[in-house]
Amino acid sequence: MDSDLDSMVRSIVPDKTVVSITGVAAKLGEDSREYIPGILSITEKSIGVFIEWRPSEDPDASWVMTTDDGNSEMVDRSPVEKRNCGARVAFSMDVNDLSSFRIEEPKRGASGFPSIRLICRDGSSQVPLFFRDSTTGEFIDRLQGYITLRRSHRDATLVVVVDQKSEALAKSVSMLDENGDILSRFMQNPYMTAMTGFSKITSFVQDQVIPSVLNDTDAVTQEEKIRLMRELRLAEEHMRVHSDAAGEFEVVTQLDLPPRPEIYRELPVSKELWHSFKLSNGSYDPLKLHHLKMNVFRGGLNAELRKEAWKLLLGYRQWHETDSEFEKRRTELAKQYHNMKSQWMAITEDQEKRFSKFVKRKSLVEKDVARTDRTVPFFQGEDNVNLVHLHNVLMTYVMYNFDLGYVQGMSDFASPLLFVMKDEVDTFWCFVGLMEMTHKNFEKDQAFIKLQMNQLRDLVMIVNPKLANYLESEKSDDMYFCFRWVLVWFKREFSFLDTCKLWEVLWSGQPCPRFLLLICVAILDSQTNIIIDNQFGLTEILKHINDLSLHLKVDEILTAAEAIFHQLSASQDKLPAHICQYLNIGESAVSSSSSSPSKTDSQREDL
Amino acid sequence: MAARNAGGAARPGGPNRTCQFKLVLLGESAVGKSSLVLRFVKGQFHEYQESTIGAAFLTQTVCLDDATIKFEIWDTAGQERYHSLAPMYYRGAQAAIVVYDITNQESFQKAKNWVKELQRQASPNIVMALAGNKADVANKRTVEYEEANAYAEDNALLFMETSAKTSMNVNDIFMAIAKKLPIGPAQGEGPTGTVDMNQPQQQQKGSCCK
Repeated sequence: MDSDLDSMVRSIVPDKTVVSITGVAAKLGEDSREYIPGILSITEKSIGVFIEWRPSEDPDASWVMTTDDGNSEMVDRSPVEKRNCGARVAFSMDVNDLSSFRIEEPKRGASGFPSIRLICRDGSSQVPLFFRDSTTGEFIDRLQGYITLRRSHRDATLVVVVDQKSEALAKSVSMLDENGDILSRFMQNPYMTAMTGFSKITSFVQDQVIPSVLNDTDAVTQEEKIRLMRELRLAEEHMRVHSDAAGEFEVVTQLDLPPRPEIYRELPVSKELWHSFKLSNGSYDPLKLHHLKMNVFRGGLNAELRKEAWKLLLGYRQWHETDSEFEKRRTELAKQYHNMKSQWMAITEDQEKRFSKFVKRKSLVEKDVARTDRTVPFFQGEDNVNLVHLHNVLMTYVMYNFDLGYVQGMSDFASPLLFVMKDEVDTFWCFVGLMEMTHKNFEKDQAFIKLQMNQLRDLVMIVNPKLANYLESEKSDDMYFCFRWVLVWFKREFSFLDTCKLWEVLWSGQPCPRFLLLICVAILDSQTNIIIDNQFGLTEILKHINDLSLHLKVDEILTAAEAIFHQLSASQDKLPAHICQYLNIGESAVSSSSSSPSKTDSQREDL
Repeated sequence: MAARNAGGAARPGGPNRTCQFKLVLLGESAVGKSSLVLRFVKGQFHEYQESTIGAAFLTQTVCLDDATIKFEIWDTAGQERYHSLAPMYYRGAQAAIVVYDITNQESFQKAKNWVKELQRQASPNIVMALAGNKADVANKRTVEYEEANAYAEDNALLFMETSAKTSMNVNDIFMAIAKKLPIGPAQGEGPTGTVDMNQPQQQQKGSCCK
């Protein structure tokens, strides 16, 4: 009956648009310079208040591209493409689902537009919106009519929606005012309390105390108050008993790292610079090799150099090889490639009936080639010959390493190689080199992934204990929300070209073998406030991390990761041995140290 | 069509209760798990939907007569190699859709394995549905409707053939699941409704009627 009434009301009461702001453009991705013109509005509907963005319906509304000097130019795209892109990022969300937003103003004196990125309670983020014709003021003012906003204490660009319930909670808890008590400490500064080793208690407070206080926010009886206190003390004592065994961690979590140094990215290595490291016979000066690799680490490579340089970085060509030596070996390797290729090509349909292991691998390759990077022009279209090349490379790798076979994620590694090499044989042998670095990620027991997750957790613990404790309290300290990052080396997080840049930086092997993990730390570090201020739980964290895809700034992340490396290496003597191993000693040493502290040991208190 | 609900809002102060349920999608790689979710949540279809690495998480709300059901959907990677991750995602799930591709007999066998695993390992009251996807290419069918239907009946599964491409039966299968889910007691009985029983307490955000 009520729902009948509701649908009647719905059909009678028209939607009321409270504010509609034109010239609010959506940006497709971090490295994209295209802005889709559109309209941002707040609409009161019978079912709630909604924030909506939709692309402008005006067919002439200009898609603009911002050039590096801040000027705009029109984008040349077909109307259908424009409509599809616009529809893809359009959204309509209930204001009650808004958790926070990031607001960024252009730097003083610089060109650009203020932008807002809305973050939802479920951890997802909307596409960033740029206010091209107006300020963000009106939108925010109107929003305040429905929800209470406040700027994050920790991050001036983050505005959080204040939960009415938690406000009420803060008030009612202030009645439980025992000075110096864990509960009041928790309320004053939940994260500091968590940091000082009480994460178990804070989660106890979140799980047990908060709901019970919430049930009666107006008045907390004296009895209730006493009961809560007693339970908290018990929990606290319990913690003390357990923490005695975890001595080593005290040092770790208390470690004060030096301030993060300011790091700048350098220009990509140019052809001229690269060739200055080359001797006349085409080999590379062994004395300058480290210098060259540092240059690659600091700036990446000019795109035109990749074809030549990746062969070396991936070990297809040896640094000491002269041009003629390499050409000779390359001819030999080409022969080997064609041999292996003809092996699988010769298998007939009839043979396949009795060769299930082969068929299984082949079908996995086929399924994934069809859906790898198909939005990248290089792989677009139905009969794209590059798909055939990609298929051939992966199938030949199956013959090269039949035991490992094909595992999902490998096509992600192969596609940029083909894009750069444009040649099957070269792509294949570069891929073999890349698999040397990454094949452990694809092994059946997944032990190497687990190891990296543990190492990542240990690193976060040192670099950002506040975040590490929060993740633990949300049962997310297995770090599995970073699985995709680690498995395919951020391939899904960055645009194709940014991925190329990130990979060559990693392939330089500088400044340490586990730089990939420091990149993870840098990204997580940058998301600390969003994760904690929005009180994200396990699912929201995963969703938030997934949604960072294509909205990360590769240069910023690389500089942050490098800065973290310097922080850590400056504190080398104070770091636990296993951390030093991740950072300084090669893979073999790391895998022998898999006795890194297990999760059960990690109950700790660092008073 | 009733399944689409703009933004998934519950009416503020309305008589309706909102129940949250965790749903997991399982099945062989490339059978269309992500495509089913994308169709259900965003009404979109991408011909070359990229493979899922790890897991993706999405939410969508549907309205029943007496309750609003919010699905927390875990979309998992299908390849055998990543099987060991699956328990992490189906742990505590109140519903599961096991997907196969009607043009691929092997994927149907895999689906049966998933059903067996869920019967053994998942919450005992889990609501399970079997989806025979890619019904739009029925001319290449290798799994007969009757065969799958009989299997589903034997195992008390909801069953539909679906097409993420044409959207056939996509909303319907989620709606059918929603209707089978235990909707907690009426308001006033506190947060520990029936739905909550199998859930560890830390999942409070995730699994109860409010």
